[in-house]
Amino acid sequence: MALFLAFLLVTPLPALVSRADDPAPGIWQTRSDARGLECRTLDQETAHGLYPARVPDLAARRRSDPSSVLVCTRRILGDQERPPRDEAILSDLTRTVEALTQAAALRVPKGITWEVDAFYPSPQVGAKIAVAARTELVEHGHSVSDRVPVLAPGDLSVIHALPAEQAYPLACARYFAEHALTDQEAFLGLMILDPRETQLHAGICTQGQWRWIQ
Amino acid sequence: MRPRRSRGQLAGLLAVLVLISGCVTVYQPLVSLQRPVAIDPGLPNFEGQRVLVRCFPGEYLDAQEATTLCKHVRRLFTNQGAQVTAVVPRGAVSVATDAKPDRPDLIIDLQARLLQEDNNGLLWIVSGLSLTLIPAITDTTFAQDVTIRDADGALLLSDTLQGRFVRYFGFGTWAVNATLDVLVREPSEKLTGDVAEHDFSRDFYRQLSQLAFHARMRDRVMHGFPSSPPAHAQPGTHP
Repeated sequence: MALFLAFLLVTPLPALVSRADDPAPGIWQTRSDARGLECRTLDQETAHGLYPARVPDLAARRRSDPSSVLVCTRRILGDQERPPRDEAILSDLTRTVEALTQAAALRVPKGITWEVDAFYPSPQVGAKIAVAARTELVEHGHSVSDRVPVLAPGDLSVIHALPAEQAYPLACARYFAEHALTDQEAFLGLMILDPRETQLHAGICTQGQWRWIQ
Repeated sequence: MRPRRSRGQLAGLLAVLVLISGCVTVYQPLVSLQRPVAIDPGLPNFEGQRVLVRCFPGEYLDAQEATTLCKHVRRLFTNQGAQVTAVVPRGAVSVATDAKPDRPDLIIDLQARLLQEDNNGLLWIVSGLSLTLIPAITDTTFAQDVTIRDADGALLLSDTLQGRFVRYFGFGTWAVNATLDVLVREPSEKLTGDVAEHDFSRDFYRQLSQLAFHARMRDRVMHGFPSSPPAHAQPGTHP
């Protein structure tokens, strides 16, 4: 009987071994391993172009009937290594910052100097967001200052007591009134407005006027 | 007489195997479904919001399944404090809603697509001949398109969630996985039972809640922060 049970367990193994490189959870991969992968489906021709050693080229006669390939890469940090919001924002930071800076650049005259800051609960993550935005602006040929406009302590104590929709316009007006920003400078602010969000908002301050971009 | 009884027992056992052949379905999140979320769907995140959910039937989801999906999504947002209307549209629909006082704040459109399905008929024959000890495998990749608009039809957000279900049919695979579940795997790593369905539902509804919340915040920002409950202030998020 034991032999028969062993037979039952061993018989399906060849079929399962043939799927050893499948990234889905199974005999060879745990559920948490599978969740640590970023996977996307590509057509075979594109996948061959990216990974020629692992994905064979399509035979000429099958070019009209291409199959798809699942391409997976392991995430840089595992689950739970960073707070979920930080992970969500940082893992998509390049794309987000690109979209926001491009939208911002369209709203101000060319030749203006940008100052950038991020308002985020974690100062370390905030610094990464600001650096990414400055880099993106520089890469697109904009003039960017390392300086960040600063307000007087009295202004800050008032602004901190206000909701975001009033705080940012007031801060912008004070930047301009106190000459922390000049006519030739624009301030790009990147922030989250609610702790339940994993998306960034942005606004620009020019001539003492605050405008939300997203 | 003795060997004959053994053969009878063996035949009986094999017949039982065929009868109790089971499925092991595994779920793999692909694009966006495993993205971290900051929202807790157990909290009233959409209090006072009117939400219209439209579940479009298509090639991957028939009308009955779309109705079931809409029912679940309705419960999801109702539990978070929203007033939800869920419909399964038949035919073309408008992106905006009429200018009635009770028109929705958010319109959530859901449409599922089948991206790929591998189902080898030969493997089913081999599986049958082996009394399902060799598994038949169905591999399905799908996409769930989520589009969220405001009442005027302005696009607030759109995203595509992609996932994959691999279904192993047969006693052999079920027995191997059930043995590993009992003897080796941690409870959080078990594969048999309704684990795949549970994991997918958890991912999908969390992502949907997060996307709807993002759309709600975008709506507030783009409409100049109308008189809705203020965002929860948090240190470090002000100038």
